[in-house]
Amino acid sequence: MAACVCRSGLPNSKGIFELGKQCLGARLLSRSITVMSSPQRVFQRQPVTPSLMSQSTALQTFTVVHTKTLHTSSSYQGAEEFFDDPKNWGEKTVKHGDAWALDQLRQKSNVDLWKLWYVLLKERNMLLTLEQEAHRQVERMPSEERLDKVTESMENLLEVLLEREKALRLLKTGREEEVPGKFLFNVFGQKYYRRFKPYPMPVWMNTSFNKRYWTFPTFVEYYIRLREEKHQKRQFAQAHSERRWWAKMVEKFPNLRDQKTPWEEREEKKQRDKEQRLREIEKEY
Amino acid sequence: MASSLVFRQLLRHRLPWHPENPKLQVLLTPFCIKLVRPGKPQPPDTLQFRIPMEMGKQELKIYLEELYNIPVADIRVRIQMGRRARNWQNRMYWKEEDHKVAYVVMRDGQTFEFPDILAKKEEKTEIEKMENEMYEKEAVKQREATQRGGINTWF
Repeated sequence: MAACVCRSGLPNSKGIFELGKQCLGARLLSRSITVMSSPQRVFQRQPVTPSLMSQSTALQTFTVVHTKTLHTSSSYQGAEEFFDDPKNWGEKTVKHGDAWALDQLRQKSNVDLWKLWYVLLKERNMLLTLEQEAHRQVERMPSEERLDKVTESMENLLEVLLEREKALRLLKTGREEEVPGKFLFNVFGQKYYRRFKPYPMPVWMNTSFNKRYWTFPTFVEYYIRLREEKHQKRQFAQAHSERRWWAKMVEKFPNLRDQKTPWEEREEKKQRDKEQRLREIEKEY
Repeated sequence: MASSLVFRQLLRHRLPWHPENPKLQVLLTPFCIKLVRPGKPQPPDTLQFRIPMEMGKQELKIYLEELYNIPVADIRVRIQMGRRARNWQNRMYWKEEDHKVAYVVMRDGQTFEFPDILAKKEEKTEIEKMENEMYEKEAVKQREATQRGGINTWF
């Protein structure tokens, strides 16, 4: 999944949109969240001693297993939550932990992740406020790497949720995307990916629509041919320039004469990949 | 914007109709907002925020009331154009991004004043204090000497 590189918060929301666009379908995910038990039940669970007391060794008998799945600091509830703890005001560095890794997040349930999202969101708002204030005062923000860590952990969280949703969809429908699609030609003879939508009439019945949208008129073929020629010309030019460059390099470094040229290497790699894919397909069936 | 439309489809879940159910339900909010120090002086019950362009008034109201428990009476919103600048030497032009500004008026007579977050704590050692005193004394001496035309005080 593409990582969102932007550090400031407001354009970052756009990054999340793009994330969502790539793997469409947080709708199913949200459904899976709503079905889960109420969030308060998770917090009220008490620490429990392991039931395998008699079987386990002496060391394990004294250990207490805390089943509290998520621990959060107390919230102030108000506009003060946009600021850091007053102890940390005016300090150059603030102590903080690491970002949430993917493996850590995979162990959490959906409800926990949902709660953690809001905890992280509040933290991020606080840090953005701090950054803005520092920018205004023309000063350095205290320990600015916190913002990167929070954004990273939020992206990881989203990735984990989408992963689960994808697995569920694969089980249910056997498809990775939520909305199926197909490569089709538009009126200008260009190929494009069309995502299917529900319509009142099936496609094979709607002839006028098919004529207009799925096919292109015959006089367009000439232009398609021109487009292909243009593309080919560009490719030939690139190959030619590459060959010229390689000849120059061989003049400079004569030991390159025995080696393979880059275009030969590329073709070989393509061949190898094709064989690999074939082998994988054979394994499956 | 297309992105916001996609987003709204993504993160808002449509529930089956029921008198108790709301039409739409937000599950994960990617919106991040900043509380900023107001440039022009505002009344004590207003908060000034910078919010993403896709966010609306009602969304902000729900956001503040649900997540931060801030009682909202009124919200006003405007869009601020980013600053433009240019470099005459290299003929370069650039512009900062536009942003949306929201003024939120709080209910129940609540007041807020933007605290001084970056006020530095004074932590100086004794030697530094002594040095500072020395420098100050010397500066006073210099000033006196210049006022007297470079002649010492004992003269």
